[in-house]
Amino acid sequence: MAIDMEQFKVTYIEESLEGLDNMESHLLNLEPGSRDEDAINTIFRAAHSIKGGGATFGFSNISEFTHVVETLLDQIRNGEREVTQQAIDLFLESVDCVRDMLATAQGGGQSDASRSTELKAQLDALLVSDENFQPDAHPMPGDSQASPDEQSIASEWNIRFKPFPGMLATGNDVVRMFRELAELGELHTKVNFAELPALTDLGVEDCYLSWEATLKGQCTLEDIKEIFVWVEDECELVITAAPSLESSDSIDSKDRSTDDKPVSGINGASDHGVNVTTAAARPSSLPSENKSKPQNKTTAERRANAESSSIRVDIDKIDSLINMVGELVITQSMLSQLGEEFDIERLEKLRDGLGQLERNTRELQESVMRIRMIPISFAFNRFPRMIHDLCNKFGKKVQLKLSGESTELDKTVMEKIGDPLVHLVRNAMDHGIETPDKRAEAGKPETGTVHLNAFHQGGNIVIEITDDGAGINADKILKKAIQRGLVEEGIELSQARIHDLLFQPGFSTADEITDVSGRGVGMDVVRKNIQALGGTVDVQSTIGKGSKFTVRLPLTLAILDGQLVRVGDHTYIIPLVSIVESLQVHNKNVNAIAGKAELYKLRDEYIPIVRLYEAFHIEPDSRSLENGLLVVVEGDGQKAGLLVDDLLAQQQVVIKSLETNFRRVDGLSGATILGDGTVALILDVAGVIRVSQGRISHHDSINANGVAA
Amino acid sequence: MAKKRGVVSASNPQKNAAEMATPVHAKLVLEGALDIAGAAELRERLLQALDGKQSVVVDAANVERVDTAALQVLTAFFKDAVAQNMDVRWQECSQVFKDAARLLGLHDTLAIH
Repeated sequence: MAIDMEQFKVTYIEESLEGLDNMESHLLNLEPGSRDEDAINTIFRAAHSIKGGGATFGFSNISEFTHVVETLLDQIRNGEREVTQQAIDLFLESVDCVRDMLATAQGGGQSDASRSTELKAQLDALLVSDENFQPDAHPMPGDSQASPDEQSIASEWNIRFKPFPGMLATGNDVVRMFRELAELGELHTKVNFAELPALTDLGVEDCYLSWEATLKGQCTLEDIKEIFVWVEDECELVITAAPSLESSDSIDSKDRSTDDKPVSGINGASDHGVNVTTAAARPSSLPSENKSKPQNKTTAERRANAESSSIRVDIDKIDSLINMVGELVITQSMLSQLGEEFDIERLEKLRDGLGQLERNTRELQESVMRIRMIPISFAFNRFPRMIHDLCNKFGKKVQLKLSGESTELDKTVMEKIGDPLVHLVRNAMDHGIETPDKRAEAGKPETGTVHLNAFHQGGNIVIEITDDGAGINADKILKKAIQRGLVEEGIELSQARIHDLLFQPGFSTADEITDVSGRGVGMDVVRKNIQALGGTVDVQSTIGKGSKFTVRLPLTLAILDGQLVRVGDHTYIIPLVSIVESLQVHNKNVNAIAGKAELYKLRDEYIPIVRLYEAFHIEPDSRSLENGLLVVVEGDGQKAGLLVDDLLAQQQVVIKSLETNFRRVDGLSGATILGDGTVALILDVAGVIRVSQGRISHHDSINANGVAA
Repeated sequence: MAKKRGVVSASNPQKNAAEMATPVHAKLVLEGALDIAGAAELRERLLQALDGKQSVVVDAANVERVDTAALQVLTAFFKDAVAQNMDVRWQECSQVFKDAARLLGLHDTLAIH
């Protein structure tokens, strides 16, 4: 029976990543010396499932590594070990390490084994370090995963296996486990049913039996333990190499080992013990399958597509969707009935019906979009860890405040906004928050605060990153900008304009470059990424009080509020967010520059005029500026006036990719299908400006920029 | 899974008595999947058989799957039956059933050979 394991692997990896996130957030909340059982149990369970799944799917590196982590956690859980800062830090590093391993497992290819080996050694060292904390030499029976004899091959093993009563109820079946054991070698089983009650008192789901088995065959302790991996904490399990061949590291089965010797033939069937021989059917076929690591060829591409391809949806959302479809079906049948026996008197009813259909469709559309919406906490969750690490690194004290985590936004937007947010938070940590002594000097509490806040505003989601640090020194920025020739000397710039300079490429005010931020390759990329999502980023800052970065993003990338404009016979859509205003052209405000470009004087700014019919080589109604309308748009920090023949309606449009359906075209970001079935192209404002600027000289474009106006 | 679960039919002892010659014995047919889901039902059936105090013939020829819980119930039944001096015999056993009993070391107690 061939089951496609790949699909389960994907689920395993996704679940494990979730588990790791969970571990991480609980670890961060864990104080050294605390006895928060819930947290420790959650962390332990996550590690346990990752280990178990890892073994099942043949990611032996993951299961081996997690095993050590789990052992430590188990000791903490049982109160045999204190929670130390060292342990927490090690666990956090382990989380990262396993995350890497999972990423490798997902993308195929080679993982960096040295890191995990090193970390494992540290964990082992910790495991051994306070041995005095516990009476036994070994933490748990059979838990010698890291000990050297793990890989050693013995030809005979004694296994003592006593399931806890509840083990069967969790779906674990001894028959299956023993069948796997029998595949490793020759298995002799001896059952003990002393505890088996009479049938009348028997609870059918409880396990009363226990077993002692000997396994003859060339296999490692690891092979055997792999079989029992899922039931480890649901049974007593002692595995020892048979004493005749190797000195036993066992604790308590030595006295039994003589009884354990298989007796050939059938000995007197006593009530309490019977020896059985089962021939090895297919020796070691199973472990070899389990060990083959998934090392695949197409590493690079697969990793590039690591963005998750599945989504977890709240059942409520699905239910409301189904309700909505029900409504739609009712409306549709009402309309079709109306259509069958239509006369003009029922026109009113038809209108009502169509109105209802429209409502249903809109609601359905909204619900469908909501499926793609996930709470921003997915993006926020990584920050506690990051702040924790950065605090250690900089010796700063920072408290992270999160609010509005349940604010929802589109999954695609979420995936793309993660990196820019990281940048902004890092900047706040590096440039914003001062060191504790500097803060004390300034009369501020030693612990700084970074506040991440998200909320909906109109059709946008707004994310604010606020810090109570030093604020942005406008003079310093201006000086730097002048130094770099970004601004001419002696020019008065407004505070906002100066702050805006932060987003210029190659700009950094950090006095010295750290590996966190300061290389000046941050903010311009941040802005570019956010703009690529149709969003904006602003900064407000007060010296000595702190800064606030505000990121505004559309809720979704799939639907856009657009302004329909007409040029000749063609309809184009301009994203509403990029429109500043629309106006009629007064010729007195138009300045032509040496036949190269036309500028329009808009209050105190000069903006270039882009004749859309020229940009797209189509025939307009009129080539005269005064007969058309100028739509002032802003993209990439530049303004431009787009000349169109007419403004049509504003409406929400569903974006269809031009690249997948046709090919990429400069100046266009996509297409949509209008109500009458025709295709309208969506303008990429920044792109249009770029295209048209190809004809404008560099000097002019700087003037047109308005920076120095 | 469309397979039949658990113990499906045991013929009526009275009918058996009418049709067959003495000694009177009940017949128990086990088939399909014998697992933890059907273990409670199996236990009920076996308790009835114990109450009948007759000798029992068990037919396990069509058992396709058997797990620990089901084998445990059967083991308890056999032990109780032996304690009550009831005669329990296998008419036939499927290979799957035999193998599972052997793996758990229960085949002697269950008198499967």
